[in-house]
Amino acid sequence: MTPGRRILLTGASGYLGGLIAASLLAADPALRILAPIRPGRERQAVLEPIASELAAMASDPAAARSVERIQLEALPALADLADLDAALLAFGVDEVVHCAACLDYFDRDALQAVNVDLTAALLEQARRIGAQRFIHVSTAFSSGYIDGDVREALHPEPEGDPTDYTLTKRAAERLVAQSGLPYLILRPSIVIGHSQDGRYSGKRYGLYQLWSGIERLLCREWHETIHAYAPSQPANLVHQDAFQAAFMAAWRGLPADAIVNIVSSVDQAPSVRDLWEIWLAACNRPRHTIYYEQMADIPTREIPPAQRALLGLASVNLQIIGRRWRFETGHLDRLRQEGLVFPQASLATVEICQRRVIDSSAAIQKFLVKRDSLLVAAQ
Amino acid sequence: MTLISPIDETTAAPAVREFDQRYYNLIAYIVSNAIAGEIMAIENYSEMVHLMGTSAEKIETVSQASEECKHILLLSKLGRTLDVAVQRRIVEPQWNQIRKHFSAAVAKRDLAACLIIQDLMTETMAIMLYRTLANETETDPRTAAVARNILADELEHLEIGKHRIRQLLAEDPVGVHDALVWAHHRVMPELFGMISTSCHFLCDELNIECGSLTLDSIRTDIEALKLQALESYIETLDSLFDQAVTNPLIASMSAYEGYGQMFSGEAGAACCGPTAPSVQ
Repeated sequence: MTPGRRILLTGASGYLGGLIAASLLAADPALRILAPIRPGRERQAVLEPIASELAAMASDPAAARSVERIQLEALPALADLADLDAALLAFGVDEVVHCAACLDYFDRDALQAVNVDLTAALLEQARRIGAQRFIHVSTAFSSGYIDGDVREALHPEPEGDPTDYTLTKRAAERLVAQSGLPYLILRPSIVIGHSQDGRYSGKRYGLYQLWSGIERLLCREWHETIHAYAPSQPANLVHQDAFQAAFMAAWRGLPADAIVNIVSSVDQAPSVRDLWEIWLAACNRPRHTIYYEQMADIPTREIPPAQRALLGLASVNLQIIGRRWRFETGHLDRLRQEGLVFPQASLATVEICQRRVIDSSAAIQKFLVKRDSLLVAAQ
Repeated sequence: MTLISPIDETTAAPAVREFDQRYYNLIAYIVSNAIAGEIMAIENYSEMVHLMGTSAEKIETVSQASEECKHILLLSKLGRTLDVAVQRRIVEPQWNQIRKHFSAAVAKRDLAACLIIQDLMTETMAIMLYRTLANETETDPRTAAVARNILADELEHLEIGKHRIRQLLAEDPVGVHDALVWAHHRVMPELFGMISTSCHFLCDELNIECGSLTLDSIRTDIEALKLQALESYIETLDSLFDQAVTNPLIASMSAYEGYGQMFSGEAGAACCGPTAPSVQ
């Protein structure tokens, strides 16, 4: 890849977009990024997480200064996206990295607008400004529910989708592949914190939704018995540093029109039950835990309301995490053979992320004191 | 028909706490919002009467509207007794939004959606509110006594609604499930949006300093109320529907006001000042 590339990056204020921005800036001191942001977003709020990540990656606070190579522009309304053309042409965009996405699973209109309509408009724009490649960040679950392997190719329509999110991401992949532009589609599974120190600046999605839900719902009082939906299937999690390394390797090394599943090895992946066990051992410590393989097996009307609420709020994510997914990993395997270092998510590395969540939560720390006094009193 | 029993204020629990002006401001705010909910309930019940199948059901629905009217009188009297200003009209926009959705359900003659909006969703929230106010260890004796009286009615309204919905479920489960999904995505964000101490214009109307309201004078917080409301709503849903129907709806609630705020406890800061968050 020639140095000094000019990148149009959407979604820079989000978790994955911020990680990508930091990786690109760290890899090439001449590279520059133009990031459109929604009106009303504070410049500092967008750049600060990227600066923090840069400093953490380099173990050097001075590395944060690389954010000065990000040019922020106000994102116009979808219908007026062409208003951005002049700034993009002046900037000299070489490539588009499209990371903006809507994750509001149940807001069909917003999913369509951001995941499909915005992608279509950006593809148009990329053509207008002469971008050389369109890099699209999708999801490993864009196949929907299918039997067999999730191939590194465009997906046919499945029997069903976990949510409209996967449906719209699948539609967006098709738009990208049919655009006529050279493309790279990246499909990460559930991205979690850093494998070494657990740092995480994303929203409470995926595994963090479950942890956050436990924090808020099951850490107000000690529960003697906990009912957990915990399939024995491996949970496919990807550490943020693994995602960053895979993104950079694919960006640099893959030929045009590649689709890459960025997923962890099933061999080392913890099961959902493993995840519950390490959390409960570290935090809630109930006397009894009842694990269920199927959501339908849980006697929801008989369990404590807080546990019922947690199961309901996390039900969709837990069902996605707990399903047996088998991913084709040809591109990732090849990149690893060529030197990509891809830290696998194992029980030990997930525990590092979990520890960071527990240690940084005032609510959990308060609960731990209460729990210990209760357990001591009961002895 | 439920008759509201007279409140025996002489036997109400003796005041064990001192209540300061912040407490009375909070009560004025909560009672005003409760009155708005009762006004909406009167209009909802009145509007749905003609959808009821039998004369007995029509009469029962009119009675429910009448009881909501009595609640307004009780709450207004409470305001006078405590010498706090209360509003007897709808100020906050969420109530009008819910009314609009209810009217849309009436327009399409969707009785199930009407019952779900008024008797399940709104009553469940009302029950949570009046339970909080009826806790006499946290509120003054007069407020607790009024809240207990109203709570009894609202519990009965919830049971009437459940009974009617069970009948509809037996006739047309698919239609009722569709109505539930339709109503849930429209009404629950509005109801949860109101569980906060932020307002649009109510503070102005009550002459309360914006941003001064906190719930600590009744020893609770926004997050606790949201979780109570969530648990109550789920309990209501579980009493009628299968979890295969309800789980996706509950999961969708994690996104309310941006996912973080459902769990983070960050809400409840700004009132109607320049930094007030937009609800719509």
